[in-house]
Amino acid sequence: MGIIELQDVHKVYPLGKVEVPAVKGVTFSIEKGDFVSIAGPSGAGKSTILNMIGLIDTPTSGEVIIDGKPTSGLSDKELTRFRHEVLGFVFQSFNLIPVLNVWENIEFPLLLGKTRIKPSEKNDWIDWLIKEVGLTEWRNHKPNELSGGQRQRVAIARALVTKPYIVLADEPTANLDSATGEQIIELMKKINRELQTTFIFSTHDAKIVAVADHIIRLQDGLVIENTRRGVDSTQNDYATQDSTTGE
Amino acid sequence: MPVTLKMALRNVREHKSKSLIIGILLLVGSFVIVLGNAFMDASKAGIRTSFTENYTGDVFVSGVSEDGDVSLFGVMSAGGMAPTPTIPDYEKVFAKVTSMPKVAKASGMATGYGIVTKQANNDEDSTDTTQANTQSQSSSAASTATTATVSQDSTSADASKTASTGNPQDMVEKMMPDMRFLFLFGIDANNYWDVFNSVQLSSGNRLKPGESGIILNEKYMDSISKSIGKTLHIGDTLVIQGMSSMGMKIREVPIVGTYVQRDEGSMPEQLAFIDINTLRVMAGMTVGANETIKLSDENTNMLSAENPDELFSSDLVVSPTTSSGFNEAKLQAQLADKTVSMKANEADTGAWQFIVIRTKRPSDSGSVIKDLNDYFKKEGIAAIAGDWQKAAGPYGQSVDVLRIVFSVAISILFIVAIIIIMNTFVISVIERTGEIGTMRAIGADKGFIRRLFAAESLTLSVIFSTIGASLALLVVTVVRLLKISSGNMFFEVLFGGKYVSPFVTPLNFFGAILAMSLVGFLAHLYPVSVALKIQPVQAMQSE
Repeated sequence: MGIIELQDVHKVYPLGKVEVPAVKGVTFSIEKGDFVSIAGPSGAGKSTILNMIGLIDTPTSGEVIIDGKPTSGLSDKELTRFRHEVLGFVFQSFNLIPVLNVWENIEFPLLLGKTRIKPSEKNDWIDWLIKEVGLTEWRNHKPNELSGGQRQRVAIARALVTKPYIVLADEPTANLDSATGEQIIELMKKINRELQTTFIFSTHDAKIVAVADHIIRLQDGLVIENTRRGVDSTQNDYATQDSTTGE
Repeated sequence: MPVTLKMALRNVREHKSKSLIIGILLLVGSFVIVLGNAFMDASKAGIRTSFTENYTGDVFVSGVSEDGDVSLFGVMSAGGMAPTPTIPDYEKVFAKVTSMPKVAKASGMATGYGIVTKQANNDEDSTDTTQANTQSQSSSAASTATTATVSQDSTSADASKTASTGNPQDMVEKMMPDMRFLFLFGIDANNYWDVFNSVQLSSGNRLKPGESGIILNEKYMDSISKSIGKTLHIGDTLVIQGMSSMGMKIREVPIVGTYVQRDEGSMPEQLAFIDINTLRVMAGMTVGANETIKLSDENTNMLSAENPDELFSSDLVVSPTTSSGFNEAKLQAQLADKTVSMKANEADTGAWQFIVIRTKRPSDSGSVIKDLNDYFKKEGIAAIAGDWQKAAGPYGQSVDVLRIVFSVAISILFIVAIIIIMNTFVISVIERTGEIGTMRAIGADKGFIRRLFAAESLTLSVIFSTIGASLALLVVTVVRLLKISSGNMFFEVLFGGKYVSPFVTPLNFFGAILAMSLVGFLAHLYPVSVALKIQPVQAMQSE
């Protein structure tokens, strides 16, 4: 069993009197330590799937299983704890807390509850993360004093600070120039190798998709490709769905 | 420092315009509370000092009236002047009072009103009226008496100066230049001066036990002299018309002394100290005054008739059929018998309206009042003990009325402030939707969001209300240093002395900060509920 499993997940958004299906029955599995790209054009359902894996949105039907635990029916409090302990988030718009400096932004998740980091290790761990993302000289700067790339580095360090099993990144390079975007992906890849943290990121940039060792490609809310590097696990849900619906 | 407080402080600094809108409201609120209370506390302290030092002592015992609360100025009844009750079992009550360990001194007393007129004091026959008993309408006496307690001298040397203030009391005396009012304190000369040391004799002597006489305010005696057109001296007699609900009685009283106030403005110049027996007669506290009169059934029916016409039957006018029933000699004999009328002019020597008590410490008054009232209840004595405020009657209540009006105004200010602050916070929450969503997404529970906003509102509240309270403290200090004159006696009592003397108590200062913090806290509750509805997924939608 993978660290993440999606079983026939549907998501429908009500839009006035109309219901808009965003995800139409998706099933896939992600292994621990994978560097996963969820790819596809705009409106394919990348962010919706990422949100459901991140437990910040719930499926209309189907099940999301994380680390062997089904997540449907969890209370708000349990979901919050799960997100805090198991998941890390990197947002497209960085989403740093404006009144906190680099060091404090990275520290922030550690102040929200129990973590795997011992208090005596905390400062050294944050300092190591800051060094890893190359912001040692910027540690006391506020987010508005940093460039987009630097902000995203802070966001990555913040996502890693609780030593989560999984880091979710929603289009982490969308607001960055291509060179900076590549650097960010390289950084994520490096940490993935060093810490064996599972990274799942959504993107529509083909160059970045190529870096991933597990590609899940979406179209119109369906998986049309699910490929792991070195493993021939290609499926075509889209084709399957297409054949069953006759579209 | 907790992260919530750190973020709160930085957010306050970061969002300057919103912080200022909220902060100024909180600042003004605490400023007004501290300043208003500073003046009201000064006013209450002024009135309290004035009453406890001059009139009421720390504890005041009176009889009980069905018509209303009993104060030093009589019964506060809705329908005019009801008779002031005397204390039943006075000797027993007084013995109980003086035996209490927390009581330092006590004295019995009674109060009444009188007028001094030019006509009565220049009429050669006036001395013949000394024992006269003139009945008048009690209602008119009551209305005049009320005026007597507040009137001031308009014909004295500084009359033009005081009149220029437009004081209505001065105007009353100007309208009646031949008349002066007196507020009479019938005192127990044995111990009254031990309880109150607020007056200083300027001439003559203090009243001695058993002595008949009156002690006038030195300035007011000059005013009376001008009013009646005759210079008064110690030893002269003054004809006073005493007024009470029992009617009007005239007494000729020797002037035994004059006094000056130790603290100028602490009491009205009209206040005069008179021997208790003369006061008793003038106030209707005479032998038989309280006796029960038994009426026949026929008389009772007549008194209860609703229609006056019922009193007159058709056979009311009848022709005399015989003269044997009328005996002129018998009538003359009956009229010559003054036993009953003399009885009405004989003071009831056991009658006291009040006991004024000085406790060893002012803070003892509460327990003395409680112990006394428990005692009265246990013994079935129709008396009641209270503090100076009860004794001061309408004057004491005025302090509370002022405070109630102020509290209502402050409450309105609170509501307005809460609405404005709430709206400002809601805007802030909407603007920070992404930030709140992010915090929720990365593991902040709802309690953290609640604490974060509570910290922000309390930080703002405490900072700005402390500034407001401190500014008020500064203004109060400046006002005290400037020594602004109170102007007249009314304001002297109101502002606690000759100078406007507001003061800020720790309770006032910290209470205002606490009150405005509560306002800030209440104002943040709705915005927090809005913030808690923000879902973590909204972090993804922020730009």
